[in-house]
Amino acid sequence: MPTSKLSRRDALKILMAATGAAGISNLPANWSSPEVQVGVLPAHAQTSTFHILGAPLAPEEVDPGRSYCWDGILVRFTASITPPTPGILLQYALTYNVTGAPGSITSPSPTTNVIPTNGSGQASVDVIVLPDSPFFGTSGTLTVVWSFTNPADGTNTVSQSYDIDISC
Amino acid sequence: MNSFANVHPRPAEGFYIEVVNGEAVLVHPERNLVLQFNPSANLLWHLCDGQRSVGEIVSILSAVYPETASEIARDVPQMIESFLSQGIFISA
Repeated sequence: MPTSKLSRRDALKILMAATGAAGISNLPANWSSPEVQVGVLPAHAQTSTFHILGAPLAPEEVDPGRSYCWDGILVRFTASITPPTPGILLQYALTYNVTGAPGSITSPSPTTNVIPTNGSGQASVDVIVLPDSPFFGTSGTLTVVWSFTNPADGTNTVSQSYDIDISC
Repeated sequence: MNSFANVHPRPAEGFYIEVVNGEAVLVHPERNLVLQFNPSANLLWHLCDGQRSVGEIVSILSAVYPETASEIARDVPQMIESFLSQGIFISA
């Protein structure tokens, strides 16, 4: 390969083919120094399956037809583990950071709890944020932090956020 | 890096790749290793297929990111050399 005469166009083709990127937009815009975090699986995880926690599904609003001002907004957060395994215990911790009119999490209660993954290796929590006053609405950011309950199952955490803006 | 430029690196056997939140994570259960890459390291990993030499990889990345060609010429051999020394890469 005559690399000294490689055009940017040809190099991009090679790069996209190598990485499986569907287009230039899927490649990093700039080069930065390669950074690699090398982790070691905990010793007790060697005999069990070590999982990676992720959140490939964006938080989604559920039941968008409801009355936000009176019933609140319902948002579903979903985490998943790789490889997919049922029955892995995940902990969620919910917070609502108010940036405008006040509101609060009314469900679930408590806002920190432990739930198992389902057969697809996923765990979901439905969260309701209700304006403190149905006449003023609320705005802020709803955040959930997922983590493994048992370090033998995995050790990384993942955070998801959803911006809320209810005008009444 | 004249002699090193002719090395053809590729990942050692046993790694499987996962994408978590848009970032690649490599797991090697038998060696008890987890590697997490930033986007540049991820590109480099994919280019190291045992077919391309270090010099060719530098040329490809330099053609795509010409404004940082000097950094690429420094970073790429460093990372590959480090991975070879740790047994994460082998020379094909």
